[in-house]
Amino acid sequence: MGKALLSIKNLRKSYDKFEALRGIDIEFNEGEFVVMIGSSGAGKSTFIRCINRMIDPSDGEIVFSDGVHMEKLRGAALRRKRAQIGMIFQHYNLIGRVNVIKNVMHGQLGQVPFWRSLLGLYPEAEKRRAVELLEEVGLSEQIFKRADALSGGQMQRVGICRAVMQNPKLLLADEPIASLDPKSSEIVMDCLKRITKQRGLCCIVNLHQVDFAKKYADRIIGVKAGKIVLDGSPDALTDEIVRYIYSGEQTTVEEAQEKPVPSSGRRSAAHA
Amino acid sequence: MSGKHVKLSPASWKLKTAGILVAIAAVFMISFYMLDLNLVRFVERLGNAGRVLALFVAFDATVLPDAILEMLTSLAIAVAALAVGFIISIALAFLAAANTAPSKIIASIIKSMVAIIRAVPSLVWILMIVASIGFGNTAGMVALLLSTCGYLVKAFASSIEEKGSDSIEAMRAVGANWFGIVLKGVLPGVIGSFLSWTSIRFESNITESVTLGMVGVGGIGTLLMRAISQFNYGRIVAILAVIVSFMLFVELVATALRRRINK
Ligand SMILES: Nc1ncnc2c1ncn2[C@@H]1O[C@H](COP(=O)(O)OP(=O)(O)O)[C@@H](O)[C@H]1O
Ligand SMILES: [Mg+2]
Repeated sequence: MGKALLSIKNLRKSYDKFEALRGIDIEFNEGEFVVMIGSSGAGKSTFIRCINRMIDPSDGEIVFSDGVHMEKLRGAALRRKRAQIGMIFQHYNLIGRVNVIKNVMHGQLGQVPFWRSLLGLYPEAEKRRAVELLEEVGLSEQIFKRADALSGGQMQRVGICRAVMQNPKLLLADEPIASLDPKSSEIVMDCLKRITKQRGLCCIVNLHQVDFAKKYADRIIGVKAGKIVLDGSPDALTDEIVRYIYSGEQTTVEEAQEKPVPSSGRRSAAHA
Repeated sequence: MSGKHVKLSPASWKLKTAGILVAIAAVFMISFYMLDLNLVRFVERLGNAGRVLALFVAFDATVLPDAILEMLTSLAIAVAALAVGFIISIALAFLAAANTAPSKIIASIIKSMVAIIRAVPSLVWILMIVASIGFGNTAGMVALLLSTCGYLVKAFASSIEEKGSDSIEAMRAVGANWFGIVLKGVLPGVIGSFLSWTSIRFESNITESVTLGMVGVGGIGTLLMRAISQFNYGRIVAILAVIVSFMLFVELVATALRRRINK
């Protein structure tokens, strides 16, 4: 396991009176691929968005290994720290009318002086890196295509490249494959895992498909009603625990029971 | 299924709809009554229309060079106001739109100023401006600039508000500053609709520019007003012909532009 990267203490978030996060304590390490599961409304998105302060937490600490307290930052300091954290979205959030490589270069917006990015004067080395990244995810043919002309799976791979372009130590991904078919989902998750492993990045991914979580995660976190109820290796995720995590919401209970999580038995046997 | 019939909307909704319909009908009837329209007299007078129309068959070609020149002045006033208004409106719209406004106070100041500008007809603006800086093309341009901004800021801001929340989120997440969010994240997605709004506004700017001419600002409106007050039907017809052909031309150009933008 890598060095500690991020330590979160007693993180709380209330929307008006409703408590979405009810005291979360957890640490993340460099190079780990963490998948977070939980029924819809459990607080997964809120948690991930508090880490880079897209949402302001109500209470608690978010401390990086360099000593920066994320919850205390404001203005330019906050933007500078955000620039070091990559984010990947369910709806890709690309700029549709802009071509693929320019979308990837947007990952540099927080790092180069604004007048340079405005004129497209990014450093030559960074532009080359963008091209290499796009080749790596299999999009070298699409470099000059408009982002809105791509398929969903291709868009999400561009989204990954944009996030990696930030040179982050930490990647946050909120339901990156929730809008994709199974085949594209697999391609995107393969890309994400390969790229983060090669670069030793820590990646925190929200997923709601338990089978995908088991297949890709180094570590699985179960969230239920704003609290962490599971934190362990994929093998720890038994059918009963899955059912427990997803209980309390009718549709998801049924989903979990319908799909009696594949391969859990096989996998733990293989690991034993 | 049980014997009770299925409702597709709750009873309260039906009541509300009925209420709104009654209110609209009432407003319509009251307006009609207040206008005091006398249809009988209108139909009687129609008999005279033939005689008046006959006067309009004349066509005084000698006024054409003047008319074209003055039409170009009107056009220039309209285009200048549109170009300057376009730039100003982009800046103001990003400051005013709910999802890009850096400060709520500035946003509501801009929005209320725009509301005031829109509430007052440009004819009234021109009279106020004329009172302060005198007649002439500058007064026309300033008055037209006001109403152009009043229109474009509101249109642009609504385009920004309805698009862009995903892009704004992404730009915020990469650590971009306000200019980065606006220029790199939002502008590419809305510039097309900005240009569409502007081309729509182009036509009304010309119409307004001609109208403003009739109250003494430069341009073809002045020429037309003079011809009307002299009952010079030949000149009136020639001037109207110039105006109509210009408007048709502008309409064609604007439509072609819009088609290109929306591609
Ligand atoms: N902006 C908001 N205002 C009010 N309540 C919210 C807001 N965002 C999320 N919530 C509530 O917080 C809870 C957690 O939401 P979320 O973090 O999106 O869950 P998840 O991503 O696990 O589905 C939900 O009950 C949701 O309704
Ligand atoms: Mg969510």
